[in-house]
Amino acid sequence: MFQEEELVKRTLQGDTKAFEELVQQYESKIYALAYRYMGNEDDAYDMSQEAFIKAYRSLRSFKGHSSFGTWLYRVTTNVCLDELRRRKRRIVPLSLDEPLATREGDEVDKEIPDNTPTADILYEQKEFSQYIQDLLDQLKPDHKTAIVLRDVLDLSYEEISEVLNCSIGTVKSRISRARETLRKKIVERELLP
Amino acid sequence: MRCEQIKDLLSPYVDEVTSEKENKMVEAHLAVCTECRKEVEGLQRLSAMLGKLQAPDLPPGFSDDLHRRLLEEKTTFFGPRKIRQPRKQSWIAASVAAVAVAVGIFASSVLPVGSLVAWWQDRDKEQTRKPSVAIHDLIQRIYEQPLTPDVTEPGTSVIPDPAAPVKPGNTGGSSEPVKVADNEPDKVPSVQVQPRYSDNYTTRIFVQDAGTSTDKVIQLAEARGISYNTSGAQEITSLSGNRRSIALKVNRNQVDEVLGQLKDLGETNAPLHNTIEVTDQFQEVEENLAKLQQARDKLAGKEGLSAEEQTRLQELNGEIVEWNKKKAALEKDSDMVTININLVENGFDH
Repeated sequence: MFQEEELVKRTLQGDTKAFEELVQQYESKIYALAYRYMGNEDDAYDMSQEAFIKAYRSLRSFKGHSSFGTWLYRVTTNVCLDELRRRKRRIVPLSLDEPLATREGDEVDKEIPDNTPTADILYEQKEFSQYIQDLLDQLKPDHKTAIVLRDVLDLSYEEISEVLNCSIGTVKSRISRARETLRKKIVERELLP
Repeated sequence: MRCEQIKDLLSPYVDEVTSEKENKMVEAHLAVCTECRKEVEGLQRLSAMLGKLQAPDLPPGFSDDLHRRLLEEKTTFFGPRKIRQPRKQSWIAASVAAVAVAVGIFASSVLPVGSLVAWWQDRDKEQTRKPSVAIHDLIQRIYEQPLTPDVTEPGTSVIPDPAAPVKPGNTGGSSEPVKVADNEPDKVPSVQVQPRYSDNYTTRIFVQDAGTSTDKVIQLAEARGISYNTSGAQEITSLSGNRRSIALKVNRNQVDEVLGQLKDLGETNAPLHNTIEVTDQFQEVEENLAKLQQARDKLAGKEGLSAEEQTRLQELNGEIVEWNKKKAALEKDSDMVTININLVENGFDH
């Protein structure tokens, strides 16, 4: 951690190489994170680059209240979500977990016809990872973010609450909701008990 | 206690972030409710599944691209604040020198360049930093940097300070960059490579003890002279079942046999077979080799090389050897099949 602080300090003094050392420590994780948000390699590449550049530009606003890593995840999350929001304005995808409101104001679960193949075929088609990614993509952004940070990046609840700037209670409930939605979908495909 | 009251606690329970009191509530309920037990098991497996999702490797040129963008950023971000503006002519010379030195230091500090395929060995060391490939800088130096006589020799560890005032003596009389006879950047040789693919299998095995099973996989690998990678083998402990990962590199004709043997370890999922296109990696190696060779030939064909040029020639020859090694390793590598084995403990045996 001290080393990171030192590198941040040196970067602020104009030493790009110090920043590149920070990049080396995090590039794989940031890329993995962006890949989960964006769902494809090209976008993941662009968003990771963007995240590092943005972090570099706004490094002065990093006050060291959290670790540099947590801050960087936050920057990356924002870059990706901004991009997704920007695209959403053009295409409106169906969300899996956002309930539909009925005329009476009650919420009902959406029934999205699931055209994905059954477990055996999935394995045969070697599309399992893509299948999970597709399910992740259908989650609400908040839920997706929380579950990706938890289960893909293995961050603690405290770290996630820092990245998302929300309470641990909110983190718990978002993860719980996201998992429940995914679990139900996967159980239908008999990939889970 | 009814299921609805307990449901919201199951996910935090799986992550072990519930309080003592909540744990007791959950466990008391699980003892009597098959449905919720099943759900907990499902959540654990889901978590493990997500944790093991295969993300593509970081594309090889990532650091280089970023490096270039950062240099651009630096000039706008730090430039105006840091650089005092002396007389225009010497300012230009100083900047050219500073950039050349900076590039030299960057390139030489990461040479010998890390290997594209060395990742396989490197993964054994979790903390090993990813090598940056500074080849572009090297090429840039050769193609695009005008020679300045006062440029510090490559490899000299002088930190260029953009804020440092320019000493007239340093640039006096030689502020004009010396022109190299054929200063025009050469055309980058175009290289076409055949599409190349690499195969991998991913399998998940439910085992009693992930540690013992990892050892068994290692024994199996060692007995057959198979190389293995244990960077994922440190145990990830959580209620969602302890898990470890290990990867094997096997010959194509060994795949079925090895997969068959792994079944002895426990309940095994049908392995997922993935084919990854690795043409890009080959393309990059070939392109770099072509560029390096072109640059080398150009220098080698020149008469009366300066000391600096001779150093470059040596560097280039060294680089060519390195990249040929990489190419050989890459070829060998793509003929092999990777088997990723995820050992997941049956976490919930109440």
